[in-house]
Amino acid sequence: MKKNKITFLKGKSRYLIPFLCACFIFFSGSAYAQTTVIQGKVKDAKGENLIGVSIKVKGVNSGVMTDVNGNFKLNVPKSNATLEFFYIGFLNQEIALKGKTVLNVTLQEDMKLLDEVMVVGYGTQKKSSMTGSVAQIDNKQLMQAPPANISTMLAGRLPGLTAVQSSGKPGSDDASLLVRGSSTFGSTSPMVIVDGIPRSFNNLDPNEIQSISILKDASAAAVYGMQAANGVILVTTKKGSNQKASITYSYSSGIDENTRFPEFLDGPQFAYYWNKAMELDGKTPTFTESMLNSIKAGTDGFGNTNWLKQIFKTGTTQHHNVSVDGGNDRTKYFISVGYYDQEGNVKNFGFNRFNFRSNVDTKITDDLSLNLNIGGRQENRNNPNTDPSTVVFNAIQMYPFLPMEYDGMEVASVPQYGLLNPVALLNNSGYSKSEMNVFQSNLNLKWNVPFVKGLNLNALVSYDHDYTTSSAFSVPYQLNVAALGYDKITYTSQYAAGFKDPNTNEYESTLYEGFSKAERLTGQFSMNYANKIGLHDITALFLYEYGKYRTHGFGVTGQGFEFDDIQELDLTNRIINYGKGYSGMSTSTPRAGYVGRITYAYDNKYLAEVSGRYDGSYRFKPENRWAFFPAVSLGYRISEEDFFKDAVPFMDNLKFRVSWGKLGSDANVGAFQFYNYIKPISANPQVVIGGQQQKAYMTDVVPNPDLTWEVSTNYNAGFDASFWHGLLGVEFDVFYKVTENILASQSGNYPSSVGNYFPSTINYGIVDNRGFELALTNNSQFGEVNFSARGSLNWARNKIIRIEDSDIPAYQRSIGRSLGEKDGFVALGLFQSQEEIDNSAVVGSNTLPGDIKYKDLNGDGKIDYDQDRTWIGHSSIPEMTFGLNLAASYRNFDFSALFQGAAICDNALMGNYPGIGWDDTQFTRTFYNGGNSPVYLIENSWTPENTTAKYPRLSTQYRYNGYANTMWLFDGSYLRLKNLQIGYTIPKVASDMIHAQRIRCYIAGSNLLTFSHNPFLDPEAPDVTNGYYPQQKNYTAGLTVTF
Amino acid sequence: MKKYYSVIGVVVGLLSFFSCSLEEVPYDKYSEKIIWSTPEKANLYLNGFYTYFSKYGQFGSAQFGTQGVLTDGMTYALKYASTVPAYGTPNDYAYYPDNITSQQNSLDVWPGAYDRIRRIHEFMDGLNKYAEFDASIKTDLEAQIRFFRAYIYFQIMIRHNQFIILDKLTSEKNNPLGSTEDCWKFIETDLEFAAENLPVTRSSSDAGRLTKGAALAYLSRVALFAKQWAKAKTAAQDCINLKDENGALVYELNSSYEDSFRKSYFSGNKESIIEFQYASPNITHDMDLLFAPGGDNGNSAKVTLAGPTQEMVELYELKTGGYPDWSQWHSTTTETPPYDQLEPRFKASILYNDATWKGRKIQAYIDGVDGFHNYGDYQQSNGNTVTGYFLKKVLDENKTVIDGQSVTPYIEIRLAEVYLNLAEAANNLSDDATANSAINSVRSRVGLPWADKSGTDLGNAIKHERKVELAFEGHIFWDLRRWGLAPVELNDVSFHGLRITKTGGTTFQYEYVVVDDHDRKFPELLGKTFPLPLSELNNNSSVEQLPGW
Repeated sequence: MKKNKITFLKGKSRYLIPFLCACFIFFSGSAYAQTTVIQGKVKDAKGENLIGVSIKVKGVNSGVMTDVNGNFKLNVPKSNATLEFFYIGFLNQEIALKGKTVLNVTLQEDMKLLDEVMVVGYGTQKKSSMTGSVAQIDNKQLMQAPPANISTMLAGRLPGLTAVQSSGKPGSDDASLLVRGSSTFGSTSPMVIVDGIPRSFNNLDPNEIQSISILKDASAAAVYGMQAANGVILVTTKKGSNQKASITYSYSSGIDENTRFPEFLDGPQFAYYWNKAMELDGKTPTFTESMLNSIKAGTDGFGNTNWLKQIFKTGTTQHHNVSVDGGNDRTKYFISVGYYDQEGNVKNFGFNRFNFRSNVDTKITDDLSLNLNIGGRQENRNNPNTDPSTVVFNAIQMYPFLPMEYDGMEVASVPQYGLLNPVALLNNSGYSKSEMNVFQSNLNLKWNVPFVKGLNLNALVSYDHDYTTSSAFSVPYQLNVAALGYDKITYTSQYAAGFKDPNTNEYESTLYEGFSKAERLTGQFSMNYANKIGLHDITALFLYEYGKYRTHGFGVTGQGFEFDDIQELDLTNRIINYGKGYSGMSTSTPRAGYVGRITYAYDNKYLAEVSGRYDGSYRFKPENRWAFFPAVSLGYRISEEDFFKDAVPFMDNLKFRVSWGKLGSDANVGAFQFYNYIKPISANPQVVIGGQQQKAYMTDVVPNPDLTWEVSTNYNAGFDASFWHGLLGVEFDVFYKVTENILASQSGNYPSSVGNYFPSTINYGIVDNRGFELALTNNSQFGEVNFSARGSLNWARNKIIRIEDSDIPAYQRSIGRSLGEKDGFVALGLFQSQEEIDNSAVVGSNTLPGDIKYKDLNGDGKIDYDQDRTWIGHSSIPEMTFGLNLAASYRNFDFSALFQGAAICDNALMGNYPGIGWDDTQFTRTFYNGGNSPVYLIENSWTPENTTAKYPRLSTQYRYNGYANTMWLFDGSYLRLKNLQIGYTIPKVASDMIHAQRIRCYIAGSNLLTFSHNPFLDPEAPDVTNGYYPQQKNYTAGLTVTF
Repeated sequence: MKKYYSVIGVVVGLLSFFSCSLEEVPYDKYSEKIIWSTPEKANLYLNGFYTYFSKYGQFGSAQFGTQGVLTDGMTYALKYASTVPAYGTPNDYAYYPDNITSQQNSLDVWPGAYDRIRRIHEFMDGLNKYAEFDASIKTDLEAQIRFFRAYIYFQIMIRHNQFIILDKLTSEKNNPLGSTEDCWKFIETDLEFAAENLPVTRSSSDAGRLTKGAALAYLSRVALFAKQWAKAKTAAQDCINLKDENGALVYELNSSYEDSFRKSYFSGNKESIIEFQYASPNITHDMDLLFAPGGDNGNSAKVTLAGPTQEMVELYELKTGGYPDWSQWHSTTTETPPYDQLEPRFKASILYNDATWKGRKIQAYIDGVDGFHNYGDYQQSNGNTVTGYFLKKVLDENKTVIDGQSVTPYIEIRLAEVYLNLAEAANNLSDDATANSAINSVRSRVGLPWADKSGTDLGNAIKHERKVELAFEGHIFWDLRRWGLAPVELNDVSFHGLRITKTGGTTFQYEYVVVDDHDRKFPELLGKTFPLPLSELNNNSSVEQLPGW
């Protein structure tokens, strides 16, 4: 733990303590009428004590748990009662007392741990009889990570899932997830389903989640048809259990700091190196001796400020959750209330969230049950009226030789574009706030049809509604702008931002207020059939689903307040007269589909499944709107064969699986591209005609009535095996996937004289993707130490089979390459002499010693951006990811660690901005834009005295070293101690004193150690960055109390 | 049992509620039929084409790929201060014309222009297919749209001297280049159609739409480039003599030179023939933001992209005719240059040290509020001049807030140019009397004397007059190429400025400095054509790269 102060309980959380006290009083009141005391010990088959086994008197809702030594003690009302024993991973057992008062109980391990219930599309399946490829994580594993948003908690924990977190901004620090890599040019986001409905899951409270599973192959995902090609993530929230209410309170608090960020030059260093660079550029050095002295002394308008230090502080997180879980034979409930608060480590960036959930299951009659899930949350984002990447950009650009303030006013420097002052941006720019309220509900009626055995009918209606109010208040503020003269610094005050009153020319504040809402209504009606006839196990599902998602939003910006103190639109003088000042829009997205699935098993050995979805999308014209996505899979449990049991007795389970199927994606086709439309060029007027400002219209995209969905054909083969009673578990899958009809731009194939009169995109591209996933598990016990390990390794490599390559040399074509592969020049090192330059191919005509020497690939004697690039690096999305989760417990201690990493990827510090072109960045060009530079770059730059330098010539000028090239490419592979948690369960004696069943406290951390190739930036930093919100390292301490 | 029936009833009710309709309509655009349902809506569609004037004109971004980067920067007229791409591209191209290639050429407009040609043809297609209104309205719409087609093709023509003649919508990839002659004829035919069918004046609600005079004026410019002297002469004369329904001249030279390029026709500047009007807050331009001297302040980013060179300044005559002796300012001196004695067009176009501007004095000296630095000292101007001068012609002196919200109109063509077109055409037809009279009209407005000339002398005088009268209006680069003078005047030269140091309260030292850090190059080939873009060559098997490229 670092020494930083952790603030326990602040803000709204302080109300929790009285609440908890009330809970104590309430629940400790259940005193029992004493009769007989039963005591005993619970062990497993190997004779090891079992800790935490629930013991309940049948028919009575009171119970206890075994202590660390497996002992228990319980009062029973009468001596002929029956005790029930429950323990996860073990078979439930009932023991009739028949007068006994001392019991020694042995629980049988549930050897069908593989019979874990897996959540699949529109249902559940037993793991043993599954033929598709599904990976699942339960709440316990999820909670090993410090609570953050869920997507980042999944990194490294599920085989087949790749998570990349590219920002640490509070409220936006989710990881982008990929199931089995990417196999299309467009969106690769998997479909996310929460409790059966498309919803986002990032901001659920982790305590609400029962399990998360990912559907990887077509067999598992075909029931989601046209939206399933990128895989499906299914999230299931917790349900109540048939037990006396248990209340769990958990709390954690943590601190955050940057994983990595480079140091930048300080004032004197800047002046020294700038002068040196000017000399090398053949110019007069800017800083005179007296200026240098002033910088050191902080006089005459100079100073020495570390701007990065001014913006980064230690961030904090807090998390509270109270949940109640309980029920009886007829009604079960799970209720959870959570609060999460994050103060960013960039000052003034904050996020907090309240979560609420109530899941209730009840039987109306014996045949008819009803389930109502209601979830809600509020997300609040509080930021300065600026973007954190702008703040970081300002801090790394700004002159370090300026003081914080001059003449009582914050200063600004103007390296090239606009005024820079990160601190003023954070403190003076106003604010940008949003409050999002989410309401989600599922109402599910299930009727077990009494006349047909195994048949039930379901109707699920779901209604979600969210709305967001946002406001942004912008305050004009002044800065003292520093200008460097020939031997001095001068300041003039200027407004850094703001809008003027057109009449008075005075700067005024503006206030934006916006409202947006979205609602989704979904209905699912299904028939389920499950029956066993002799050795034949049959299940069948038929389902119809229809949903409509609608959004609506509007906003307005007002300008001019008499007083800024109350920010309310009513108090502004007018709608802002820069731009239109108001906006509004709506969308409506309907979807429908028919789902079918039949599974068959013979004697639990031979397994088969057929499934599919007939799916429709409004994005295509009516005639080609519907498509069928089928899948077939087979399984063979050879371990159930007698000959196998005899031959390989140490193997508990071996199952082979194969599957084939088709999945679709309509995500990359915009709506209404099948018809001609005319739209305003802009929401604002464009021309003055007749003295009036008038709007102007133009044609929208050239229509393409033939647009259709992408189809991916999936093949999967794998096996599940377990050895020596679970000591070793192996799951292995290989897959091959071909995606066709990928939307591809065809502009490169038409001459420009056609004027883009052709559909800009057509269904043309083909990408294939192959890979494997391996998961190994081990559960073992050494004396009192329980140990488990779960390792996973994924690899997925895609290849472009067909793409519309524009007019480029053959060696630049992307056919046969992977998506996201990086192109650029090959750097041969740095030029060392004019002579070398004269005899080499160069860019332009201004190359000097110390500039990068590029390889002239087409041998035409000059370096051309369009002609001399080739493939130089992997995509920044890793081809291989791996995770190793270790967990151990010893007596009251528990421990878990997750190592997570990636390989076969490259990180570019500069190069192509997607779709924009190329440029240097602060991390690659010395004094980029005339601003500050990182120390590593300057100290390792080429100068006549340092000719063996790693980086190009020290210069204040723009040079040709900014092209994408191998010099700025780093191997992006990394290994990271992603999570670490050490917990301690307070001895029963102590927890008894507060009538708690269990008290556990822990310390945890994330991103604690990182091993990677680029020592300056986090390995998950975005490619080509000019400053971004860095990834965070987190240290957390927490407590869980169960009553 | 009854319970079940009611449950089934509820479920069936829900099922029927969830129909399976996937029909939707967009909420942000209209079908083509709607837009052609009335002339008013069709006019809104047509409005989109009027934005081409703001895009391809001096205040737009098409001329040199970036707003504020003017083709004048390729000549002695303007020196750009930036050393890096975008704002520094004119310097890059002037020093290293090899950087202009078929893959990369900021001066090229080919792809964007053809995209607009396609949109023009879409409009014509819709007009034929869907418009069911008066023939006269349809003819007016066609005349306007054909003007724009000519306008866009002309942009291609001055760059490549040829283009692919398309006259309707097509997805055909392989189309040949038209001959230079056919191309000019195609443009002229469109303009002639426009001139015949556009009205002389517009009703007040249509004020600002194209008129007959616009087509004639533009035709006089086009014909000059096509060397169709007779056509140019007639068109220019027809434009100059155009009368409205009351018999009054539609266009007249503005008595004030400054107003002639800065004021709208609709604010009484009868010299403006085609203009694009700006209006706050939505339709504005950035010229003040991009060119105001740093000392104008108020703006957060001091850009001041470029300044006129000493060579440009020395083109201005004395008020009384003739030229001052500049030799002592070709070294170092403390004498004040003879700015005050120069003809009025100088002061209207260029800001110099100590000039009065917005109620203050320009401080174009080292460490002045406007400031000076040597070209190359910084990557950008930081508000300073690198020549000792600032460009005044595109600025609005009444604008106190320097933001991107300028509303001075952009005048695409004004009557003074038509007079000079006439003069040049007539001179080439050996009609020196008409030429002398035309040039005299332009000079007499600013009080300059004129002695009739003839032949080549007259031709050279007309060229000189164009350089001065139309300075910084986007002509000079194209005129020099058209005259074949670009490879002469712009090759193997460096241009100059005055580095000014304040030596006392009101005293300055002027030092003649080279503002280029390399000699400029201008190959013959660049004077004739630009290369065709690679994207065309690779996908159109019917064209080959232009000779020499």
